[in-house]
Parts: sequence; C-alpha cells; structure tokens
Amino acid sequence: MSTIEIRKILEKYFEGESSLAEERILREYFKQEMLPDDMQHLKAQFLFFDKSSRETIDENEFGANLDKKIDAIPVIRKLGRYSGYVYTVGAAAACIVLYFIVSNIAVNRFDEENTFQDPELAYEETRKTLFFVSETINKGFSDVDKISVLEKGLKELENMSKIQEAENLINILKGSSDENENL
Amino acid sequence: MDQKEFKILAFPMKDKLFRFAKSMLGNQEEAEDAVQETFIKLWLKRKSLSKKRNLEAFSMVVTRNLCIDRIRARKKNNIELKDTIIADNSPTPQKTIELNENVDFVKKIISGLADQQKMIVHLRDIEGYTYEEIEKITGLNRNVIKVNLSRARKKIREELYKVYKYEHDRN
Repeated sequence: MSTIEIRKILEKYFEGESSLAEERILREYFKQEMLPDDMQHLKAQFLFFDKSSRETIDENEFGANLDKKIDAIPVIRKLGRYSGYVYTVGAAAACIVLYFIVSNIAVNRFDEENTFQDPELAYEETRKTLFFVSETINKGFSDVDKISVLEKGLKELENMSKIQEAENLINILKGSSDENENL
Repeated sequence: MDQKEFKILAFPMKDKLFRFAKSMLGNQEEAEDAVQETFIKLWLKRKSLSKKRNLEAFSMVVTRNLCIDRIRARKKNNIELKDTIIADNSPTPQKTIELNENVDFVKKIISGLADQQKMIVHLRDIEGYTYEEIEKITGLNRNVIKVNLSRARKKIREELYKVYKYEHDRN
C-alpha cells in the first residue's frame, strides 16, 4: 500500500470515518520499521492497539478462582436445586399428619355413637342429660325473670306520661272553648 | 447447565472481558475481579444464557456496568487513589521515551481520557467491534460514538506528537 493511500486512510481514521478493514491496514502498516518522519510518532499508537488486543488472562488461575467463587454460593444454588424436593417431602408429611388427625376424629366419633349397646339405656341417659341441661337453663331464666319486674316499673312510668298527654289535651280543649267564646 | 458446559460457553469471552475491564479500570487485579464478578452473574443466569442472541455483547454490558460501579465507588470513597491516577496520567516529557518501543505511554494517555472515550477507543481500536456492536455495549448512538472516537484518537496523536517533538528537538 502506498504512503498516499495510507495518508488518506489516516485522515479518515482521525475523523472516525474509517472502516474496520482500513483500520486493520493501518495496524499492519505501522508494524514496519521504515516510516516517513511525519508518521513516526503514530507508530506507538497502533503498536499499543495491537499489543493490547493480544493480552490474555491466565486460564487455569482464572478458572480455579471462579470455581471457588461458584462453590462459595452453594446455599443459593442448593436451595434452588432442592427446593422442589423439599416442598414435595413437606407436602407429603403434612398429608400424612392430616390423614392421621382426620381418621382419629372419625374413629372417636364412631366410638361415641356406640357407647351404649342398649337403646333404652341410651334413651334414659340422654333424657337425664337433657333434664340436667333444661334445669340449669331454667335456673338461669329465673334470674332473668327478675328483669321483667324492672320492665313492669318502666311500663308504669310510661303511664305517668299519659297523664301529661291528658293535660295537654285538656289545654287544647280549653283553648278551643275560649276561641268559641270569642266568636 | 453444569459448570463444565458453562465454561465451554463463557470462557472464550474471558480475555475480551478482561481487556475491556482493564482499560476501564486501569488496574490488572481489579479487572480480574470485575471479570470474575461478570462470570458469577452469568452463572446465576445460566438457565437463560443459551437463549441470548448476542451473549458476548450482553457479557460486555455486564462488565461495563460492574466497572462503572467500581469507578463510582472509587471516586466516592477514595480520593487518594483518584489523585494518584491523575498524577499518573499526566504525560511526562522529561522521561526518555523510545517511541517505537514504548507503547506504555499510549496506555497512560488513554487512561487519562474521559471514561466514555476510553471505553469507545478500546472497543473500536483494540477489539475491532463494529459501530453497531459498540452501540449495543455502550448504549450510545453512532454519532456520539464517532465524535468521541475521533476526539480520543486525535488526543492520543497530539500527546504523542508533543513527546516526539520534545525528543526530536533535544536531539
């Protein structure tokens, strides 16, 4: 490639208008020893780009460090991996416990229904129990009866207000009779 | 995807990611850490990795973000470090610089560029990415990329010329 062409490419390069292919040409061009004087100072620029593009990271060391770091996050990883399994076992355990509770209740109920073999005895026991319940309730109600006395008193007080009503009526009647007299 | 499959898929990108991180952070160790972090992020997303159309561009974006975070944290927390970087970046014409050999000087000039320019120069001039790919990785539009690239390239040329002229005049 002629120096003239290189200069043209350089011009485009510094304006940000050169293509990748042209930039590769420049990189190759500046690798040579003999350069025009006015281009000497640009050699380091393109050499730096070329050198920098070859820099690498130590693969073994990098890989080992990365492995360590990945192993250092096992809590998140294992939780993620086993969460489904843990939940399944948990759900199964909960189902078993629930089954025992429900079946236990069912069994107990069955026993209660069969406490008495003789229906008459059962009837008698039930009657006794119901009597006891009604007696207890009645005791409670007897106390409630006392409240009805209070209610009676309140009603009588209401009757007092009727006297007031009657008085009002009388006044109205009086008023109307006065009006009649005036007429 | 197990660790072996993951390595087969992701390891070919490690050098590119490393170079990118190093150019942004200007520090070998930090760059290695950033790439490790990138790989951890990729590992955690391994289920969806094979579906990614452009895994390399995606990984470069992850690395870019991690580097930006590190630069921000550095600026916030460590003024000393920032100062040393600035001191480091200033070209030192007093030093004898063999232009043909000393490419490290270009490294210094680039590390003194604005973060955006540094990133763009690296992606284009070192890695040879197309503008479309650079758009994806940086999230910038083509015009901004070209303008910044042009400025950065001219800046490198200018600084190199100063040193060249200094050496030339002395001789």
